[in-house]
Amino acid sequence: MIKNRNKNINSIKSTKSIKNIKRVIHNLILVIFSILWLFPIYVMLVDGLKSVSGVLTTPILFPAKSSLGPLITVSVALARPIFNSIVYTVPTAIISTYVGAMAAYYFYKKSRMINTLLFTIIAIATFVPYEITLLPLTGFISSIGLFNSYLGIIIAMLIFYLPTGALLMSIFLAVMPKATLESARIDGANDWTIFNKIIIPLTMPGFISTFVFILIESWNNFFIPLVLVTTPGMNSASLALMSYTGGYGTLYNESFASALVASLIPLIIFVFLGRYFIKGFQAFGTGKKG
Amino acid sequence: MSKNKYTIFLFLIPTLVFGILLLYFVVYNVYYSFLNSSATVLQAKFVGLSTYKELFSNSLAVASLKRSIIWAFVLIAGANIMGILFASLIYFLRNQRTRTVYTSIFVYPLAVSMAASGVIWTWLFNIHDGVDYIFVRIGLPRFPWLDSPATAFPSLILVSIWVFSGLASLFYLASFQNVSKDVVESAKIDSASSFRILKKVLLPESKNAFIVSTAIIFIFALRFFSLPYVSSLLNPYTETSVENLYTLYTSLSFSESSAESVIVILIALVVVIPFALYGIKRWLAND
Amino acid sequence: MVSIKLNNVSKIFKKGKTEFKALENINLEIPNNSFFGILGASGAGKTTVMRIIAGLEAPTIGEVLFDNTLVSKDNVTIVDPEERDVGMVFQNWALYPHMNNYENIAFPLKVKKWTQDDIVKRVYDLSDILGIREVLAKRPGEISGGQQQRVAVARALAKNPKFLLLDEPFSNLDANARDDARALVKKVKNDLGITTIIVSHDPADVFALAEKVAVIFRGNLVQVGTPRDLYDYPANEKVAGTLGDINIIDFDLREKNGYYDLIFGNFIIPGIRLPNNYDNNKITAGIRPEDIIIEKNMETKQDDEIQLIGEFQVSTVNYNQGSFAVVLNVSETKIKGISREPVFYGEKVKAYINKSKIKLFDYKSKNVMKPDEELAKN
Ligand SMILES: Nc1ncnc2c1ncn2[C@@H]1O[C@H](COP(=O)(O)OP(=O)(O)OP(=O)(O)O)[C@@H](O)[C@H]1O
Ligand SMILES: [Mg+2]
Repeated sequence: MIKNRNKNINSIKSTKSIKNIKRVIHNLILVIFSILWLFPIYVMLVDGLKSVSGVLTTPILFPAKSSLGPLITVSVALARPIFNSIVYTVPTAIISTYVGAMAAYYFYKKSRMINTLLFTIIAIATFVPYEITLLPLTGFISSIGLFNSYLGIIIAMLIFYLPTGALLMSIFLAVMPKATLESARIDGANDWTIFNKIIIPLTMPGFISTFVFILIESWNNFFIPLVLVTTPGMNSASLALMSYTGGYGTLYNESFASALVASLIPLIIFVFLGRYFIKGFQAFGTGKKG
Repeated sequence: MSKNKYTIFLFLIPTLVFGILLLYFVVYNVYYSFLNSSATVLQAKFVGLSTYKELFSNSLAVASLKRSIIWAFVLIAGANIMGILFASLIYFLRNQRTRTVYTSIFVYPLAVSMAASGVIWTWLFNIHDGVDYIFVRIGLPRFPWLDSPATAFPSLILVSIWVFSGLASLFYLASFQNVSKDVVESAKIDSASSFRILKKVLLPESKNAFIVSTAIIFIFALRFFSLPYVSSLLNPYTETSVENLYTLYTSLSFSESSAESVIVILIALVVVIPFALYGIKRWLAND
Repeated sequence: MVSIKLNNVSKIFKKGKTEFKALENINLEIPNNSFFGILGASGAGKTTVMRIIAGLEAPTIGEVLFDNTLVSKDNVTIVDPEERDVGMVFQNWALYPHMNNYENIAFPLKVKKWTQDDIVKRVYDLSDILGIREVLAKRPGEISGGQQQRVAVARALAKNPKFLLLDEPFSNLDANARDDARALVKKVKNDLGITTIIVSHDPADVFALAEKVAVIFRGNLVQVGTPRDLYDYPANEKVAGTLGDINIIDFDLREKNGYYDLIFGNFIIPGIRLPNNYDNNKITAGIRPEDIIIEKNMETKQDDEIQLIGEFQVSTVNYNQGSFAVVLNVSETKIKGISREPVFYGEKVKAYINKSKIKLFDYKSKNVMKPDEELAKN
């Protein structure tokens, strides 16, 4: 009897310690992968702030004497491209989300067969790899005289991101109870009032998700500025990184500093509005409000 | 009487115009691919499928098309596996805050531009100063990464897996969380191991997550441009199909570029149309 | 203030290839300033009628007129809901969750571009009538169901609508709040004298409020009348059931010198007159529970109307507002009656029946047959 009990206690103890070991392993794996995944951030910070002597004496993986020098040099050089990127993407994201939401409101209000077809067109447009429009896109933007211009880039971006905005906002709108819309109609509101006073406020989280998603995606869009601007003064932040890609003779601290500076705005947005960005991606994929 | 009746159409028009413009671009490419427009031709004319023949005898173009498809498939496999791994590691965490933190860590590469990733990883792949520095110190052979034609493309695939695994994990995590808590709890009470719960309870419920992450990653993979462009410029060993059609365009082979665009669209449509319809079904079900 | 007329209104919903006829050939006239009820089981088409009146749906066929002005006809909405000037309280109230209650009530006024001062005055006046002044600064999600319902009523009334539509406004309230709400709605309607339509599946709403009521069954209008008329003289078995609890029993018939005995096991009602041309050997009768009086000791006086039927065993008992709802087990069928005194499961009790209140329905068509006395006169 007593022996048996001891055995039991022992086995309880051992399952407990097995559990603890499992928990440790579980967390260890997560930590290892986190380190791997965060590694680029680490090197951006360590090497983007490395002094020239540090670059010459230490490899990329190790920290060395830091200096704000490369960051300042790069920031000066990237100030204009970052400004350009803001001009390209903020209007794109606002218009895509707001005007896309208008289309979403249309689909929400009218659900007939023909609209399913229109919605299908918009969904397919969203998923087209935009690079394939290279030839007609450049042709179109040149023909309306907007090559090498802010407006040209914004229009080009809208062609791709407005359908995205409509698609995402349709997904976020779909869960709104129809009765809310109907009671606004009964209260005498017209579509414009309903859209601005009811739909937009009620779908605000979805609106932010869509906005953040499009802002980050368009910020990181490399291709459209690449093919639509030729003067260096019109470069976007992503495009400007091309001059820091390295190769022999380049000092890597400036490369990392440039990556850091060019990614700063999307990364800050991610830190503060990451869950909206994630919801945007989930809606984009599953067609459901994440 | 009903002055409001038609204003609602105004809501749709801008989006419709831009959406149709985009689809018009697609159709325009199809039209253009049947011409023989290039730098050497003064007056382009209709040549039927001969531009396509030309394209398919262009070994760089064919290689780039193959490469894009391979990239998509390897990335889909890699990102799904890593996504499942991350999702299950995160799912079995108890604390909601730690879950959020880890999710953010695995997802953040999506917020970094592919161009910036390219700059960073090119340096990390540097055979003197990059990760090879450690490899050599701990007695491993120096790995050539981007410096060798054989390893350059796989190296870039690794970078893309770094970018997209977090995205896949989001979809799997959402699926796992949809599985009733009771089912998981009762499996736990039966002292099933986490691994068993994953295999028997969670994964069988994750078909949708697999479809969604596969489709989305496929769509994104076909767009890969800046990562290879930044890290190795227009290098024949890493060039994707959309890079190649850009190369053709810059070398003024317009119709060939259009023909390649059409091929890319066809590849995309194989996945995009079923996926779009699948999404629409869900959208309508929401209705 | 307006009268509403539906002419031959049908509504067909199409979903893919399947068609569903939600309303069929409804003709209805709702007089100015009346309080009108629409009663029907769940899915009968009540909300659809209301939505057609409000303009949220167009009738597939038929016309809707307000004071003889055509507002919709044959699948066309001529006057949009935003211009119909109706107040509506939705089944689930549909308040705007992102606005506080003040803003909810003020919304229709802002839309109409009232001045700020007028809006404030109107919202406060209504809130005082409805007793929601204290919750104006809160959002709908932060107040009780009863208060939300009042906010919804206030919002519907704010713009002085031509008429008021109430779609099951009380279904989300508990029993006590429901009584208060009914009283309140009645008071508001009387004070403002506005044409009001209430839709409900609960006959209690209609009895408490409506002057006239229409009963809808599976999209068909079966009867219109005062609640009392419909309760006592239902046009058919379904109306009888819709207006309140009723035992529907199929009896065998046995003739005895011109009169009939209705026989259901040992539940036998003697001496009933039937039309001469009634040619079935069975008949359907509806008897409301309050017309089956249950007694343990013989106390009830019998007369021409009240007659003893027999002795039965109690199957279940429910206490309900001062009386006992007793279920008797008769030939495997449950028959509901009412007792003043407590009775218990398994006890033997006597059942009396109020013969004059029995509703007789044709066995085949289930339509009502003329009451006794009229037959006797013929
Ligand atoms: N938009 C619609 N599409 C298809 N069928 C509908 C639609 N609206 C209502 N119906 C159908 O029409 C019938 C009547 O619906 P309605 O909402 O008018 O019923 P109701 O009497 O208000 O029921 P309840 O008491 O449950 O609210 C139901 O069978 C319903 O399924
Ligand atoms: Mg209803």
